[in-house]
Amino acid sequence: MTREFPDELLSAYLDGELTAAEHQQVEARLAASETDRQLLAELRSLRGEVASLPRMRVDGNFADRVVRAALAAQIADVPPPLEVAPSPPKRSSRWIYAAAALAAAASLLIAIQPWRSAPTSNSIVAIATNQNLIDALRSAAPSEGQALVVRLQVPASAAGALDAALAQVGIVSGAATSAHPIAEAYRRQVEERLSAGSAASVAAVFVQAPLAEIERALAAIAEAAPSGVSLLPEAKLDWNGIATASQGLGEFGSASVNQAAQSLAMRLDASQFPLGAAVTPIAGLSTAPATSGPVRVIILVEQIDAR
Amino acid sequence: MLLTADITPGHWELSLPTSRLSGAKVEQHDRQLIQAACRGDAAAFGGLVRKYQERLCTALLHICGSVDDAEDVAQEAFVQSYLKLHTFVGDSAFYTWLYRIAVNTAISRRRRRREETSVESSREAFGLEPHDDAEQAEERLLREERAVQVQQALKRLSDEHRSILVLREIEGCDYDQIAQILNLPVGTVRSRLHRARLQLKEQLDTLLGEPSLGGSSSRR
Repeated sequence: MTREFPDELLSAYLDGELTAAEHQQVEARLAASETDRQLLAELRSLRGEVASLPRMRVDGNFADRVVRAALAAQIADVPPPLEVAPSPPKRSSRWIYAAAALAAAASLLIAIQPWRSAPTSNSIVAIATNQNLIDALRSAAPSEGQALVVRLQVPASAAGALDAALAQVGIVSGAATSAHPIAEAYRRQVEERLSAGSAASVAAVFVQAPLAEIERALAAIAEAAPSGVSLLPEAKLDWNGIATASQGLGEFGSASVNQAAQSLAMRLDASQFPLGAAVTPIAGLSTAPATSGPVRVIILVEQIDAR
Repeated sequence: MLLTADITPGHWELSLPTSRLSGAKVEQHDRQLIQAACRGDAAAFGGLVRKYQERLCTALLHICGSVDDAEDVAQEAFVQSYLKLHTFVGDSAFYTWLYRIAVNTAISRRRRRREETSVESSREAFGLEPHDDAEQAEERLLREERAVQVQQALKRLSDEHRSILVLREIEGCDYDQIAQILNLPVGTVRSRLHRARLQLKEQLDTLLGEPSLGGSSSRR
């Protein structure tokens, strides 16, 4: 390479990155030098070979994995698991307001959900802030044929307030058990789980509504709830599989269960709210989240011991 | 039974970091996705990922040298972009900004690890062969073999030379864009790119045991 003609000008000539004066200089050089013409041809050929290297194939789930990783990273950046700040007085009214928001504009149906004692491979890490709740829910948004399970942990001390709030919106205790097959199957599974588990009590609320409304309602609960309440997306369920598994089940038998849990479970009874079309089996499973239509969310309400 | 309640609009409004996107270099579609993602719309961010995943992964394959590393780095770069999305002001195209993150991540990663060549995994990764349907099988085989050799030669380059070649030849970036991504003066881009091309030629010659192109090679 000489200062008179730096051969890097040849690369820049190839790339169209020369000034007018430099372009003239290179043209003159090429006209006079067979060596430089040959080098230019070699560089042009090499450039074409690199440019035509095949593209990498990316599998269809890459984007979904990336989004989950991004949300998990965002969660990792925030403070420890959700501890909602104590709300001002009128706690019970906030609960009523929040519970009503949960049920608003939706057909509120009741089912008892099989208890999951530990997160599965489909689980979502615990959330920490309202923003992460929304992101986590959207990331976990169930598609057609799926139901999202979230766990609402309520200290025993706040359970009464929750009951009161639920009662305000029509969920009352003492109702007779329905013979609806799916509800009974779920309740039976919960009874069996409770007899072996350590949860003080568990109930489930099933909501089918547009995701945006569910997000707002859950955010309101997280925001307005008493101290110690946590809300965690937990898993996705094959709704089609659940409906299929419940078919053919006969009457349930008695089991040794926590009396309080059984009492609470029976208070949330599907017979009050006909399942109807909401439990219509959906053919196949779609991996694309349902962004416009209603989604199914099962909220496990778990009473925990005071910390 | 339908349950109703009187919900006051705005009660549920959440505090989210707002986008600082104001630059004019971002195309409209990207702008919409970025602003939605900053508002908490994870699906919008997923849209950005799908739009650029193949392009980024392809570039990273040639920078990182393996399919697995390319995917790992791409994912890491996308995640970093998500976490920093609200800081992106649009003074460059979104992909340019993303690519900068990815290149830095790739180079940092390679400096921490020993390079592993993986010819077979590279072959498996290539799923979109740009070949003519009428191409003879033997010609296609020769072309594929040549592509593997070029990729092998790329792997033998330094990180800096490989990165700049990928930016120019595969990404099609001009010198100003390359300078922005690599944070270099344009003059350095010009000289480094030329040296990278010469190095690539030399590596190919070594791989093949003979000059890879017609005529005598000129070394300067």
